[in-house]
Amino acid sequence: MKTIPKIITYFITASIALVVIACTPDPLPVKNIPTLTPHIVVSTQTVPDQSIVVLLTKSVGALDAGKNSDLQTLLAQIVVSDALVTVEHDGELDTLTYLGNGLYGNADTPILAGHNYKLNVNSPTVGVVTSTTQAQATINFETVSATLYENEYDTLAVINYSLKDPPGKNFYMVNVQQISATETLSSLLNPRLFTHVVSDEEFNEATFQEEFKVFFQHYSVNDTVAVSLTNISEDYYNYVQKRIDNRFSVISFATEPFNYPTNVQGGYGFFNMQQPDVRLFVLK
Amino acid sequence: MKQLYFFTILIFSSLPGVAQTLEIKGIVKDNEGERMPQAYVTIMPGKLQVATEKDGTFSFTTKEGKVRLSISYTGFQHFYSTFFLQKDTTLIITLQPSVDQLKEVVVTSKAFLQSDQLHTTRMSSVTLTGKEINSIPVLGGEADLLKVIQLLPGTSKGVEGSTDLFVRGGAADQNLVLLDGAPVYNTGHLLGFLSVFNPDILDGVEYMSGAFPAEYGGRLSSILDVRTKSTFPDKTHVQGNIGLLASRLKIEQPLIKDKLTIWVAGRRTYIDQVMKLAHQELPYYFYDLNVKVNYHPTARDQVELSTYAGEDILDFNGLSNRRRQGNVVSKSDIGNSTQSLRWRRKLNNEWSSTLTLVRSVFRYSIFNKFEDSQLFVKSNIQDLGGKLVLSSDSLQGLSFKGGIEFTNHAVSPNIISTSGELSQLLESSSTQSQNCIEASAFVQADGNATERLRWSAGLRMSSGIVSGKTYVNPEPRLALRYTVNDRTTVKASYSRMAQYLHRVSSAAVSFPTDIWYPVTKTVQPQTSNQYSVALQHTIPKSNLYISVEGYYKHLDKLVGYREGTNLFLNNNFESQLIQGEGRAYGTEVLIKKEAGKLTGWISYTLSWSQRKFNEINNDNWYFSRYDRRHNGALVLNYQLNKCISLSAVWEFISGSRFTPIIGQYIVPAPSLGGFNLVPVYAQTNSVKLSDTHRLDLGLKYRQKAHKYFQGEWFVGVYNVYNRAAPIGIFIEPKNDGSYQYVQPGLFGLLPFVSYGFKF
Repeated sequence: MKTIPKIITYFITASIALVVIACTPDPLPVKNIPTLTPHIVVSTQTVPDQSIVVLLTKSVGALDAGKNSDLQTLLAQIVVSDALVTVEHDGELDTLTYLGNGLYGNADTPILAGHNYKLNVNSPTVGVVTSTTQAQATINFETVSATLYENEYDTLAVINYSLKDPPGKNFYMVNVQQISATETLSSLLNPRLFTHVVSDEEFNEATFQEEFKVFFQHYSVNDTVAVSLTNISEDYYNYVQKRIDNRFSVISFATEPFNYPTNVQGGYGFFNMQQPDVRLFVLK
Repeated sequence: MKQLYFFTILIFSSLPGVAQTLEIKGIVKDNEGERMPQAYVTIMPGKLQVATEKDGTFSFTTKEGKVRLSISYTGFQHFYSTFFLQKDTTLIITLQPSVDQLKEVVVTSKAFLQSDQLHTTRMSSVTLTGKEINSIPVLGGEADLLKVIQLLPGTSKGVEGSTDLFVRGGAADQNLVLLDGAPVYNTGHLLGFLSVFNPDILDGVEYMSGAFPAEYGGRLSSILDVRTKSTFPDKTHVQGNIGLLASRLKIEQPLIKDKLTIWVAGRRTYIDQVMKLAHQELPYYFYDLNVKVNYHPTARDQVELSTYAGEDILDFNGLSNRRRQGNVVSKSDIGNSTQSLRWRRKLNNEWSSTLTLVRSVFRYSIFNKFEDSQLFVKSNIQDLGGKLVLSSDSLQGLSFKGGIEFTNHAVSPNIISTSGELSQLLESSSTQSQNCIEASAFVQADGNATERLRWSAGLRMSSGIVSGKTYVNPEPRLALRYTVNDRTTVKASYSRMAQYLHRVSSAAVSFPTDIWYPVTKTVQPQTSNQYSVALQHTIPKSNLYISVEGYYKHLDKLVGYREGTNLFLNNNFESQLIQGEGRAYGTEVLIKKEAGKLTGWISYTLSWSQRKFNEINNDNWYFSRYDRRHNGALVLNYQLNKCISLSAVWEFISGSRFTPIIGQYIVPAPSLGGFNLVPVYAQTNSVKLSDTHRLDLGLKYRQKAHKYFQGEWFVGVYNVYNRAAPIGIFIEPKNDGSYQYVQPGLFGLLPFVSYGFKF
């Protein structure tokens, strides 16, 4: 190897030294960020026994919680417990009973596919919101299986399922969740769950079958997973699709900021009337 | 006292005069032999006036008899000569610096002077010389044309350090950057932090942000016309520079004296080699290669062939095994190349033609492999075009310029190919290949309405032809100049522009991997209408040029994306595209000192820039991301003595606009297996980032000139007081577990040193 002339060596050494002493400036303080007024957040769940449960919370400031927050403490701070909650449907008005922890429920409200339901929430401390949705017909798996997939790098779950698409425009959501006896509430904030959505644009009124692998989870033999299929509204499909699209937006200053869609007037979240078909599997 | 000037008359032509009309041709040079464009040549009787061409040439026809020739150029002594013309004559005239300037240590001679604008209807434009660009301290010490442009009025910068330009409220893709007539699509290296223009090759740069002449079109907001050197040296010249970021070398070789010359210039990053010597590996480098051939086959013809190629290469495959991370294989290659052939011909005593043929390619390919997953992304756009201009350039009476321009934009499919597990997360996809033909015809005339009022009117008819659709846009241009006195003019202009290509990138920041896409059946061309007024004034004694301008610009069919669109590796962008409108207005001030010991400028812009899209911000007007209310710069260069010059740049800019997260809410995850925190954003661009200011200092030491060798050290500091220029507002955890907003910046205090030489 040829010897590098001394002058070049000195120059390069000086260059490195100069680069090394270059420093990153301290971030500047931030002032004048608008304050967000608390709004009611609606989350709903209908369960196969025909009961409806609504979770009411309120929004918080950007600095009030983060990925390291304790979920239990956070929930205790934000649940709305003083609201009058009613559901209007088919000329009936059902009042939901407060069950504690921000949950309101009614086991007598009939869930009739294709019927409209209007949620009214009146909280003396947080405000008033309303939301209207249409109950979705329950669509069950025609077939479904969950197996283990191994290659030299990874061990994943593979889901294979099929469904029969009814007439009309339909949207589906398939969720895969590992069931763990040791899961704690605090580990459930921003979990890496697997959600997959499908629209029937290309298989209207036909049987649809597909297989996919579940990423970001490490599975082992004898792990239990729950696989669910839910017929969802178009609004909710768009919301979930946007959540999925933006899961990799790691360079936040380079992405277009936006507020996720909601069907709650005056608040956030989604009021849904949808029932999942849930199956449990032990991976082999 | 030294002789004020000397005058050489060389009679090349001895053809007898035909009838009574004879031709006087000439070349105007400075005392260093550099040809001088835009020198004002007057012939009496008849008071014929012309400005010299870019190569310093001029020509007249006049009658046989006694002729008085006068040549003026700012910073140089007037040249006068009276002689008897009895046959066609060719002159070579050398202008000497003015006496005032001789008293100073160093004479600043420039081929392009801002104050020359007083003689024309031109406004909203700035000319810069290679010397000016090279004297300004910038990031990393590597002289950078685009960083200098960012210091001019009307131009707002994007993210600190990037080469993006936001001109008079426009977007970053609305600037036409021409290198010897060929468009350059990707103007940045190092993720856009360093421009692709090798400073050694720059002859002059004209930057227009309004009052566009009819011969220019295709972008809404600015034209950056970069011209490389086209001199005819007497002997071989070599110059080079070794800096922290890159090293460069240029060799200029005459092949046939005053007829044919070639230069080759190369630049390459230094950083990977520096890291190697520190026993580190950085698998990245960029390079530029420029070659130009200048040919004067006859006195009437001048031919230039200019070519450029540059690439940014990141190749982890080249790393030694100990540096490679597991099974990762990664290679990306981003490159531009341009070629242009320009043939200027003097058709007769009044008319000349310029034919330009261009080719420009921008392409990138990225290959990544991790375990069994592979990602391959590829994109390519190629322009082939030509432009023919006929002009009659005379300041007496009417001058005329007209021509046609044709460009075929061939956009190859943008291919995203995935395999392995990745293919489920990111499906393979490709866009359709597109062909867009831009064809334009233009005509422009300049004349004097009265002794004080000069006008310039033009029309460009542009069209964009894509499959199944043809768009046609008339683009009228009008500029007026009213001469208040010989030092002061008032100007007004109107120009309409149309743009048939756009870059698919976020409003916040552009990446080298952004793709260019033409108009389609559904995506209509963007247009702008701009009105501006200006007051220009010179103070010759102080070599000062002062300009105050006001403008209003309305933009239509601007391209934006639906809220929530993720453009990263997304080939389905067309369905997410929306079109809206924009408006921008402001006032700009430029005070420029162009000669003397102290040179430089002060620029200040007060401006507003807004956008309106149907699906953004509830259809209400909102500030654009790089709406910056105040934008000012002080650029100084002081020649202390023959050896040392000092330079300083101080910049103040209002913070850009940002949409921070102001709240959040919690909802059960769709699987009901946990909870998600969902962010709530403020209204679009409703928060202003902190204002920022920065001081850069430089010192240039020129070694005493040897007969054959000249060396020059340039040392300095970027961001002397280490202040952050915020790129956004982010939330980060504090040590106690709570959260805080912060505004980080990218570049702090950064010293630089470089050594340049020539022989």
